[in-house]
Amino acid sequence: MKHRILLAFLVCLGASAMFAQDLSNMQIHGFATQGFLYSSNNNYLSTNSSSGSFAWTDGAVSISDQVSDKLRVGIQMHMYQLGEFGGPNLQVDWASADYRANDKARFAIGKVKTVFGLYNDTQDVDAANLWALLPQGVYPIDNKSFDLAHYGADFYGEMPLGKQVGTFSYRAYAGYRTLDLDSGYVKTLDLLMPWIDQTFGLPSGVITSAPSGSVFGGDVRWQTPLKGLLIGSSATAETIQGSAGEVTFRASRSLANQQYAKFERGKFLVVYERKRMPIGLSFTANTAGGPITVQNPVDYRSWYVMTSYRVAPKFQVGTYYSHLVDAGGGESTTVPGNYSKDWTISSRYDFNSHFYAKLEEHFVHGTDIGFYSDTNPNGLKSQSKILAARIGVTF
Amino acid sequence: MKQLRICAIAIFLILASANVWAQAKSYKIIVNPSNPVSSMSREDVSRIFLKKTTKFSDGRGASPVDLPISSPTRESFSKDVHGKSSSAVDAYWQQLIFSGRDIPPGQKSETGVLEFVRSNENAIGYVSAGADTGGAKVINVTD
Repeated sequence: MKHRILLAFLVCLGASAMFAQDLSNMQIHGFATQGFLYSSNNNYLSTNSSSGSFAWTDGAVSISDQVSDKLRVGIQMHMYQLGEFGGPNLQVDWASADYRANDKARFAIGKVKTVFGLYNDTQDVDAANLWALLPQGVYPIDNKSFDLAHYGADFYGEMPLGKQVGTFSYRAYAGYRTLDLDSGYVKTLDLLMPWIDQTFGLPSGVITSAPSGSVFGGDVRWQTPLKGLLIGSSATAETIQGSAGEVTFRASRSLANQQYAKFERGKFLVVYERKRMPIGLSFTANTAGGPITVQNPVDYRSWYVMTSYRVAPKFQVGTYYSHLVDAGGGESTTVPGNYSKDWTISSRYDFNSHFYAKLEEHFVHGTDIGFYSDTNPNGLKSQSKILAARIGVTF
Repeated sequence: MKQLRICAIAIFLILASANVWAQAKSYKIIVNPSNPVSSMSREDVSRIFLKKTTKFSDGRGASPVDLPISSPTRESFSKDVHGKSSSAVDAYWQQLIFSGRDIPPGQKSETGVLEFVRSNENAIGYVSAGADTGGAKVINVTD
C-alpha cells in the first residue's frame, strides 16, 4: 500500500510538472524484445526449452521530463514474460524524481533502480549490450524482478579528481522491496515449502501475498586515470519476510557484495565481476510445543569474466565464463545441484540504430540456477547446451 | 633501397597526419557568443555531452544539443571527444534512459543546432566543419 501511495504521489508530481511547462524537455523512449530458447537435456528458466520456446518477451515505455536544470521526473512501465515468470500485465518498472543539487550531490526518490555491480540496474536494457543472457551466476534473470529496484531514496554523485587521479563516484540508498509473486525467488520458495511443511508436520501451504522487507546499500566506483579502466564495489544488506500457510519465513542477506573491473577502449571490452551473496533463510511454525525454526542457509559465490569485440560497425562478438557455487548448508559444492558453470559465445548484429538481433550458445555444467524441478519432472541432467536468440527494437 | 623506405614512411606519416588533421576539422564545437569560454578540454566537452556535469568550468549552466545518431558529424565528434563510436554512446544513453538515471541531450538537425546555440546563452553544440556558424562562437578543443 505504501508504495502505491508513493507512486501515485510521483505520478501526480510528474504530471503537474509536465503541465506546468512547455513539454519541450519531455522524452518518450521504449524497447521491445522477443527471445527464443532451445536446450538439450533440461528445460531452462521454467520454459519448455527442450522443445524450443518463444516464451520470452520483454517491453517497456518510459516518459521522462527535465522539469528544470535540477529536477527530472519520469516513469517506466514494463512488461516481461519468461516461461512462468512475469506476466502480461504492465508493471511500474521505476518511477522517480531526481534532484541534482550539484554534480556531487544528487537525490532520487520513488521506485528507483538498484545499483549493484556493473549491470544490475540495466540488466533489462537488452539493447545496450551484446549478450542475450548476462552471466547468470551474477545476474540471474529469473530473480531479476526482486533485485532490480527498491522503493526509497538514493543519494549519489561524482567527483572528478583530475587527470592524474580520475573520477570517483558514489551512491547510497535505503528503502524496501517487494518480491514479485511470479518471480524465481517465490517459485523456489514454493518448491521448498512441501519439504518444510513435512518437517513441521503441517498441511502444505503456498505463498499468496508478496513477501517484502527493507534494503540498505551502496556503491563506489573509480574511473581510473588509465583511460577506459573502471573499478568498483557494491554492498547491500536486506531482509525479506513472508508467509506460506501456517509457516512464516525470513530471508536476510547480511552483506551481499560485489566487486568489479571493466576495461573498455575502442572496439574492445573486458569485464570481471565477483559476487558473494550469503542468505540466512529460516522458516518458523507455531506448533503445540511452541515455535520451531528450521534454518536453510545459502551462500552463493559467483564470478565471471567476459570479453567482446566490435568486428564491424554493425557486428559484435564476445564470450564469457560464469561460475557459481552454493557453499551454504555444508553440502558438497561438487554436486551438480550446488554449482553452475556456463561457457558462452555470443554475437550481435545491428540492422540499424533501432533494430538488432542476437545469437548465443551456452555450455552449462551444473543445475544450481535456472533449472526447476517441476519443469523437469524426469530429473535434471548435469549438463545442458542452450541456444538463446533474441531480436529487439528500441526508440 | 633505404631511401625508398624512408620516403615511403614519410609519405605514410604525411598521409596519416593529414587524416588526423582532416578528422579534427570534420566538426566544430559552438557556443553562444555571450559565453566567455574560448577553449575546452576534450574531457570537459565529453562530460557536458554525457551530462556528467551541467556546468561550464566558470559555473555557467550548460545545455548541450546533439545531432541525430545517423549523422556522420556526430560519429566523428563521438570518436574524437568521447573516444567511442556514436552507437557505443547510444548504448550508454539507453542504459541511463531505461534505468531512469538520466535522459540524453535533445537531438536537432544541423540547422536546429545552430538556431538553438544562437538563441540560448547556455547552449553548446557541434556542427560540420563546413557549416556557416555566423551568430555562434566556435571554440577550440584541447587535449
